[in-house]
Amino acid sequence: MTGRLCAILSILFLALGYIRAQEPKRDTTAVKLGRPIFSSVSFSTGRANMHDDYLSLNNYRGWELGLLYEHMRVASYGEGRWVLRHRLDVDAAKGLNMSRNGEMIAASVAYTHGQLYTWKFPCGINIRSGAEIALSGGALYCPGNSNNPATAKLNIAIGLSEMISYTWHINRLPITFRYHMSLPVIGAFFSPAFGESYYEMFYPGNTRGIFNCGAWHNRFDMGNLITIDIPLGRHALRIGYDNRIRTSRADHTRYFHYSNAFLIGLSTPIGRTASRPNTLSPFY
Amino acid sequence: MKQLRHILSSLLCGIITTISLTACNPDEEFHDTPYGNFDALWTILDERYCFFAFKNIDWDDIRTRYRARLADNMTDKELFGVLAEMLYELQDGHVNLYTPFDVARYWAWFEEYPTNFDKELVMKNYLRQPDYQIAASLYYRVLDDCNIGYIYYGSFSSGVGDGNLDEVLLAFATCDGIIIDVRDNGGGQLSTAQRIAARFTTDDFVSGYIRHKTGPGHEDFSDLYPIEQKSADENRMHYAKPVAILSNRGCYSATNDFISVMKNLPQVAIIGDRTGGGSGLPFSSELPNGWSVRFSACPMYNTDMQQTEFGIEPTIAVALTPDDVANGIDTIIERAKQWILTGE
Repeated sequence: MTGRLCAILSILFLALGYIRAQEPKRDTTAVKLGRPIFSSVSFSTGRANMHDDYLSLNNYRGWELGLLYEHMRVASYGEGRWVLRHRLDVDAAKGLNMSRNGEMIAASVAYTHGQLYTWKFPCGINIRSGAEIALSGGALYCPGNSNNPATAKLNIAIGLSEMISYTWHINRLPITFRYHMSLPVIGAFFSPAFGESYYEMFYPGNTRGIFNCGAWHNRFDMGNLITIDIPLGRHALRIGYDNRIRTSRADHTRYFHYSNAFLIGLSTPIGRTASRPNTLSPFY
Repeated sequence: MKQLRHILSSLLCGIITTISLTACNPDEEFHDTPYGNFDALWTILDERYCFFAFKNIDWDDIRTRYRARLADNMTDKELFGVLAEMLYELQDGHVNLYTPFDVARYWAWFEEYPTNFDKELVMKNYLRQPDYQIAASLYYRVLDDCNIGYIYYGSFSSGVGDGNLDEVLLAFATCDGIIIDVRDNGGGQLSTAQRIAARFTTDDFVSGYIRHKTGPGHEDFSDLYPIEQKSADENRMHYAKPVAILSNRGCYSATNDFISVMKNLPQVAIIGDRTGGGSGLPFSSELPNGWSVRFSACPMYNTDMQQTEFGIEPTIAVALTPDDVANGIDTIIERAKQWILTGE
């Protein structure tokens, strides 16, 4: 199964490489364009709803905190039409059961790298579409449990990365709206067997069947990020909304972690940089 | 432009749909009512408890009988009473229901048998309190009237490190043998049991088997997977002379596993009473009202692939006699001394 997955991943990335190779060669006589890095650091806070049959039958609802770093830049290939995106998330959540006497704690780290192709429309709207690879790891912890106090979450997936952006100029102040969607399609993830203890995995070493091939029938994740960047001094204030869906159903074990968070942060001055001549922006 | 409007409107619909889906939190499968809590408990065990077939328990019949005793307006304590009685049917010391006011339990595995252990007597007459040493939670000293080392270990929940074991075994290096007293040790960490057992073998060997449930059916199990008992690193103290393990009905769970492992070694004898058992690795879950339930989830087997849920017979069966106790003598320790010194 893992071999098949590797083959699929390889084919998809080869396909991406082929598409890139089909791009017209850069005109070397043209003026060299700048490709500034657009990075942002945001803090998010919101609500989370978590569940994992391996730990409990109950749902746990509570707060979630996160730190998001995003790095975007127009690629050096593709005549300015390809955008590279890196995203690193660190999240922690804590929830209570409905009777408010049992808790679940979650923590995760996720990294995604995407490559998006740009379509620019005369009305000023830019649509970017491409693929991304996502790696994530974390754990859920129920302090009251005996030999199943925690369960690990490891996931690798490739999927779609879609973005739409638009900039309004209000009194010459460029305010950039952006919606981004991550939609993993296929990958692999770790999940202990229905009643398997971590003792059995780590001490006797029974690791059979703990990695599953993931697709929408047993794993559905999605990320929806809406941001508004407002120039503020030398930087830009970023406010937004981050919605994340993480679900799986493997070996009769259902897991979900939904979060809806408000985010605030600082980003590089998108409008200002982009308005300079001879620059390529991942937003414009 | 028209095409773009279509794309954008589709996209907007998609966003709204997905966000709505996550904003509406999915409901719990069971509700916090007497019936909801009962059904949750029954279902957790129905899908995850590992000894229904081994113990020949008709769980559906139990549901019918106990659910008939529920009422919508019953109090928490009344509900607890019904649930505790239902769990008692499993006759499993690893099955508990924890509430703020009580713990449902099955302790007949030791309460209905002689204790065969008097800790005060051991502390006074064998460990010679306060004249004994403590390494982590190992109480130890060389016995007075013979050249035999004695260790009392009361709980596998109390960690013991490799350094502690080195010190204790070094202290007993010149002894004729060691008595490891694990009576009334109700279990704890399996890894600690294996760390101690690793000092009494120079070869790795299969010490038992484990399996786990692969689905909600009562017979949905994985294949038996061998558990290898590894020898401790070469630079650690090992002990190859006779070792007597003292057992009683209070030896449960990880202690039961420790005895099951040690019984495979040629220089080891289990002396005392049958162990209490408890060979199911327990998991936990929770009811809608927050009460926590613990249950046996993964059965463990001895080297003959037999369940040890109901205990392990000693190599030499000995009971504490009232006369000996009255005279300050622990019959089982004395029998262990005899076995170490004479081999019989």
